[in-house]
Amino acid sequence: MTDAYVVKRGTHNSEAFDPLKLHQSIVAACLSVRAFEGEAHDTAERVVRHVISWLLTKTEVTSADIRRVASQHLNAYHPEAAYLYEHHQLVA
Amino acid sequence: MQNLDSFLDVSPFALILLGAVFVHACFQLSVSVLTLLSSHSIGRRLPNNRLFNLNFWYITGVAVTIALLQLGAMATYRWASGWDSTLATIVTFAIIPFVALLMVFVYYRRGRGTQLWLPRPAAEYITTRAKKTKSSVEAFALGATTAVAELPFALAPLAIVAFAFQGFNSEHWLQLAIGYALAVTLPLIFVALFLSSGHKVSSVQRWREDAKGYLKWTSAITLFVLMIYITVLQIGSMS
Repeated sequence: MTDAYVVKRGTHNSEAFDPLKLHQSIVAACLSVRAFEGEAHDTAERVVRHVISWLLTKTEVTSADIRRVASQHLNAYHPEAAYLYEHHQLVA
Repeated sequence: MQNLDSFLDVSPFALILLGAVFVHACFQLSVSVLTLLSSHSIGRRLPNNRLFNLNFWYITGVAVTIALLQLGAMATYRWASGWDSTLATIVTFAIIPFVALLMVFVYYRRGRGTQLWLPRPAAEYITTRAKKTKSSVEAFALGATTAVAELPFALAPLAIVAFAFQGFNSEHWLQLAIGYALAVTLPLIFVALFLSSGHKVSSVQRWREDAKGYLKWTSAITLFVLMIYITVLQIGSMS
């Protein structure tokens, strides 16, 4: 497991990395492009594993870094979901 | 011949209205929130008819608020021009180029994606509400909030219509405001039908990203052209 801290956008508060939160957000992105439930969970699990292995050498990252790395890996499994995950926000 | 004369009388107003509707319809916040609402609803596995229902009430909220804002703009203009018509004209003509410049340099954020300029608290509030919207009433309120949040930019097309139609009888204001609001919400209706028929939110997002430059420049240029056109009409009516 990783001990990395994530610096939040806007507030700049930092909190411990929560893999479940990342998993849920990736599942939501997959489901919103009409992926199947099982496919969404499998994809999220794989992406979270990639992000955790990337975080092993880090102590503090920003939530934007997490989003960028997660979407980079998600792109390999589900490009439509990755596009939405990375860009579907009202403000940057 | 009489028909041609009446057409020539009406056409400047129709052109101004068309231009203002085009500029207002180019604003992307309401489309952005509609896609957010739809993506969260699809993610919650809502059936397409339920998604359509939420989108319908969201669009109704946007349309009703725009109609009210247009009525408000017309009433304010009537009141202000009764008080000092020169000042009212100067303020209107100052707003239009200012908003046109904001459209080009501020409204659409640079880089990839479809992010817009919005105060962060407003953006976070709207995003949270879009995620939590489950009932028709909430969808209506979200639509109303979105239309108000876009007011700093929507002020220009609203002011143009209020200025151009100042001579209209107040009995026709309601019809004009409703017609304007319906025309402005046409892109929303199209997007809602597109998503409710089973298409992906990502295809709408990709189109919006591709069309970002086009929407930005055409809406800003249309605002300038409208301002020049109204000025020419004003000079023509004075001489």
